[in-house]
Amino acid sequence: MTAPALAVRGVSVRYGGLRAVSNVSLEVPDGKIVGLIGPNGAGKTTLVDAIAGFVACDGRVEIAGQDVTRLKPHARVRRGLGRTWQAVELFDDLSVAENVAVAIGTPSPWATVKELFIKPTLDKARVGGVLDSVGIGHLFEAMPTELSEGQRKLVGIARAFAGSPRVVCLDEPAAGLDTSETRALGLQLRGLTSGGTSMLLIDHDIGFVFGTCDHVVVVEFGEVIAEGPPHEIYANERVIEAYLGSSALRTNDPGGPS
Amino acid sequence: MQTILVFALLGLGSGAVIAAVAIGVVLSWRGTGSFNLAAGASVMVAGYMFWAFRTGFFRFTLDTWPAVIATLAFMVLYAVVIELLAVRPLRTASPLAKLVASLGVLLLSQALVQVIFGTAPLASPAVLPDDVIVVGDVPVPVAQLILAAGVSLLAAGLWLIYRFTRFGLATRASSENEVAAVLAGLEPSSISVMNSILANLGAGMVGIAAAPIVGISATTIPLLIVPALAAALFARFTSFGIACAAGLAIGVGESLIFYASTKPWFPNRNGVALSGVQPLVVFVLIVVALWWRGSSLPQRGDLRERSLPRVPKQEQLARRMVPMVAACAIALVVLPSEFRQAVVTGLVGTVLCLSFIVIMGYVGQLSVVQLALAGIAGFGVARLSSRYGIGFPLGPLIAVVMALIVGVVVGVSALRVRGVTLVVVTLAAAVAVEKFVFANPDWGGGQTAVTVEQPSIFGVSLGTDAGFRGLGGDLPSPVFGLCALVVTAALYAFVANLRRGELGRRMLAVRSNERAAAAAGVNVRALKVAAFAISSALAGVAGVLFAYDFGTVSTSMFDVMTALSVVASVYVLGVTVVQGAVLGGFGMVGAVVPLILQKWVLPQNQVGLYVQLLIGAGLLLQLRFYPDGILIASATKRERRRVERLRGSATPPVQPANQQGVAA
Repeated sequence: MTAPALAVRGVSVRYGGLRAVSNVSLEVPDGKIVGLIGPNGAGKTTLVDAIAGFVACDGRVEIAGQDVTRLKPHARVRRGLGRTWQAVELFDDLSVAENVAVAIGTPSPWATVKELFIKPTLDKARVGGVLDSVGIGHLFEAMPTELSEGQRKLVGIARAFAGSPRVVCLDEPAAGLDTSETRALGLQLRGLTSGGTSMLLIDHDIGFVFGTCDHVVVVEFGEVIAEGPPHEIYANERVIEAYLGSSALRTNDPGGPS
Repeated sequence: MQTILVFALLGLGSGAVIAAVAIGVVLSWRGTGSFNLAAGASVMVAGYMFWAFRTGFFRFTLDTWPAVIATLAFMVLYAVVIELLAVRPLRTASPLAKLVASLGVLLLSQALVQVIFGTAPLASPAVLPDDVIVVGDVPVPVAQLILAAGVSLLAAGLWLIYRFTRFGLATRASSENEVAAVLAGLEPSSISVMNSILANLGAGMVGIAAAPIVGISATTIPLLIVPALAAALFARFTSFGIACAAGLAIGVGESLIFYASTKPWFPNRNGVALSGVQPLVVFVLIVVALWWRGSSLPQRGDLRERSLPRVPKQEQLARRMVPMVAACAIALVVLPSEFRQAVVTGLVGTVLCLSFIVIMGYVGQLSVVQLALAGIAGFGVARLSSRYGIGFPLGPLIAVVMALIVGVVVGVSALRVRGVTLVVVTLAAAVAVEKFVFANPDWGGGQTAVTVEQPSIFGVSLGTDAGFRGLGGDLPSPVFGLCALVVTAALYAFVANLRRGELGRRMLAVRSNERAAAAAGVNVRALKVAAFAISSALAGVAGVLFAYDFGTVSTSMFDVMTALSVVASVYVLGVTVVQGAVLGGFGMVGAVVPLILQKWVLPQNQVGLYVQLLIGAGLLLQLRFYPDGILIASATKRERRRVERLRGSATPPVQPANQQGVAA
């Protein structure tokens, strides 16, 4: 059995006296999309920060079997981790293509020195390919400040996938998108798994999460309260009580993984 | 023991001034969220005005009390003018823009004072009693004690105002969260002007009282901002009490260091104590304060704008460069002697400014230590050849590496800070290098200039004294100018190229968003160190070229005020484009633009002051009308037009729908 793309083992995060994440364990198998849902303040984003190395945590984070708990964020990225932010956080001084290019691999010191003396070129084919994979190839030359919120989200996702990561943590990629955009995003994410990339997907849109993910983890007050395939979570009494509420189930009719 | 006490008490005088400036810095930060580099200049202005009222400079002489009142009234006016000119227009601007505006105020005030009152230090009539009280059995002037008590009272009064009045509450609210304060019906702009009047009144009183003790000098008083910033850092830019206490303590400490320097155990050279230990200690204090009190200033919930101008792409580099290089080459041969010299100086200045483009423009780290690094390389190349016989080409190479190492050390000590806080570290470093290294007669120049041996290789001279056919030995020789041109053009292309490549992209990514850059796999720390290394090396090259260009190096070439002027001029023109470096370089004192002004426009002997005046005024105008810098405003417009053209012809439009595509 091969190691999962991402494994979180007993991770806890404390802010002062507050336990934002408490002993959370989960695995994201190769090529799968795992959803992470929970009410506001359940510690979802904190967990992603811990996975990506932006907050200190107890426990272990593994990428493809390698322990990365002690590594700095950029080093985790080089081990195959990507992430997006709720607030997107693009490089507003760089064009869309350059935003993506920053995240493509790490040049060797020699290549860096060399390109200071000869005219450097952007790997247009590769950057274009990444942009096309989320359907924004036409935005190549645009500046982030000229884009709509939905387009900015897609650029953020393209940037997270640019370095061919093993696993990407997506923090609310569908927030601020309309229904058709959300549906298209779900299809694109499913398409990206065919390249072998796994995902940990956080979102509030239950329909989107259930429709996109292979497996769903539910957290509340920093702890995992349920996990399983979407149809099981959908029927789980405790989840319904804690988070979804009966009305949520009635309005958001989930489909199976497409 | 008693002597130590006396020196400690004597230090209270300058400590009071430092404390007053520190309080001014805290007031500016709390009141307007601006990082006020001009706080020391207020003390200077008050000192000069009081002197002028008392001595009949304005053709009338006032007694002490009327003069005090007139000076304080003037300080209120000064506060209001600065508020209208440099603070209010930038109320919603980034902290960086506010900082640069205060730099403009500093340059403008200092130049104006010197133009009006002259450059020589003045002796102000005493205000405080010159009585002496006896401590133990040693006499201590009572004025020092009164000053220290007065500043402490000022701090206490401000604390009371801030703690217990509605105005204080409003200020605290608006410094915590300006948006919320506006929504709560408070008026940030009147809060801001009140705070700035308070700050200037405080500085005014201290300036009047302290002028006879510390002396009125337009070159030293404004730089008290450096120890004052250290004190303000310890106070986290919020506590008046800590700022005051730390300021007094720094004054006392400096005085004690002075006392220690009279002792035989103090590091000395031939019996003469090392100078400039005080600014070195202040620099260390600032680094300590930054580590101890947290890496950054308390955040203000302001309405924020983007903090740095955008970075236009560098297109058609070769086509733009060839005519410039050709014009310089021709100018270097055909122009009369003084203009040839000015062109060379402009080229060297360009290299210096390129180092600002890298560290400020590309990485967003506002560093003012570059000129000091150039000085290290300049003195290095002079000393290496005079003392160790290491000449061209090894000497300059070692000198550049020295600058690089010092630059990286400063950069690493400031790795945890970014943006405006970095200014404090680099400013303190620049002052420390100037006073500790350059003023040292062994390492730097001391009070005199050091001669530099001109470069030559295989017996062929490359220096300013090299023979050149047709000039009959007229100096400076175009040979050195052409060498400098080659170096400058190469480095210009290098820095422009940096913008287009992977490394530059990563620098801009860090500038935009450090967190996101780390998440894209960029090692932010390593990248900053690399940027410091590159820009320090550029500054080092500039320093070596300066040394050869002028044939001598002296401390005054690399002083802090010159450095601040250069930073300001590059910022006015455009800190993110290489072209800004060229204009900044050719606008440096000694280069072409000031030479033209000096010959035909301005009074001959004070051209440096007038250039500083122009830069200061230009900075305030630019921040108001072209906040991105003059060159960048035009480049942005050009780029937008190009993109629109491209979009109109080939690709579908970016904006939401596809409707316009058909029409095009």
